[in-house]
Amino acid sequence: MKRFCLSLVVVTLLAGIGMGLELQAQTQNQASAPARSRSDEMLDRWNDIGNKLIAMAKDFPEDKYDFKLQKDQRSFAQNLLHAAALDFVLIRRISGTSVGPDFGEGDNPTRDQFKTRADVVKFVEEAVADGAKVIQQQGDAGLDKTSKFFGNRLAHNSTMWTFAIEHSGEHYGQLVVYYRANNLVPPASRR
Amino acid sequence: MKQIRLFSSMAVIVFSAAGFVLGQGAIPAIAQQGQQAPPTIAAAMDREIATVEKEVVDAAQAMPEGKFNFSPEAINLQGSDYKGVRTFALQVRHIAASNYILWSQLTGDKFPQDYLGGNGPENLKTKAEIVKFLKDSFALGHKAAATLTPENMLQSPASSKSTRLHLVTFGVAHAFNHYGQMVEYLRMNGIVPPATANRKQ
Repeated sequence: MKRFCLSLVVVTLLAGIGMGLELQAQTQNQASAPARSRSDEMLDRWNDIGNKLIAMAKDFPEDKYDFKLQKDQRSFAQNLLHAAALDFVLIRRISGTSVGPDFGEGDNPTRDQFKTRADVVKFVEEAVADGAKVIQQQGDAGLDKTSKFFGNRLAHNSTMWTFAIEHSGEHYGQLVVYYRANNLVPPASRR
Repeated sequence: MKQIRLFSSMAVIVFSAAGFVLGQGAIPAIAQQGQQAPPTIAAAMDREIATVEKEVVDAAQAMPEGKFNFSPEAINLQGSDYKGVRTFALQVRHIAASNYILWSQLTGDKFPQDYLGGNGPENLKTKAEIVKFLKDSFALGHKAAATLTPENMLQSPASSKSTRLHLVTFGVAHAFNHYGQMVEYLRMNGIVPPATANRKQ
């Protein structure tokens, strides 16, 4: 009898805990009713601008890769390399890994390291794919964690992803002008 | 007795697991890691808007009034085709008009139809008028950001299929894209963009 009573108490407690956990999960599900998450939105933004840069990298004639409008600015290829390199710098800080190829210090790889269009395309594709992977792996919780940003100050990962996306957007805009300077229409505008 | 021990052991395991799960919910994971609390979504988006606002407004201010209607078409760059592209003034008006159409969906403000999308009102001619239109559109952006909450950010306003968060972030991304073009227009006129000039000082 004693054994039965003790068993009953334990089973009741287990059932209670189970129900409590289930209720908590239900409440969380109800509170997070939207099908999409913050990390889904971030991933969309990341892929949107990343794929635009990849499309340009693949499309722009290789013999014009060193084109620039003014002498004091980056060439077409250098813009792409810079945007992707900055992505890698931030992805590495956020993920705590050393993903991507070695491109030296800073975020301005030289053409010596990426001589051909195929080399540049691969570099940009890897940056976009690696960033997407980290955003997916870390999910919403990862966005609220902090990592070392510029000047070694801590910033939330959401801020760092956003910075990288906006930085790519700015360079994309510059490359749009490079396209037209060469009598070419940017891929995204060919509709 | 053996059964009791088994149940007891299970209970300890489940209690520990429950405590771990409940503890994670009660104490933010960030605090456990000794990291700073994240900003609210409204504050984070407000900062994004402020960032692009500074870049775009400074760039607009940097273009002299006499060159505000500059188009790369005018310089006849060999091998180029800039026919029909937006002038500098139209880039600025387009950013502002896009801001209005995207962000008014969060605030519910009503604006004249020519504010929304496209290149904005045709009657805006001077640099001062266009820059004011731009600044006012960013003021609307700050108002829109303030409406964002964790509960509503992934929901769509009645007027759109996009989420509120997307409407805000797309406005920022769109402005950065056109800012990149404005930068090139400035350089075509021998003007170093303020963001670059300030960095060099």
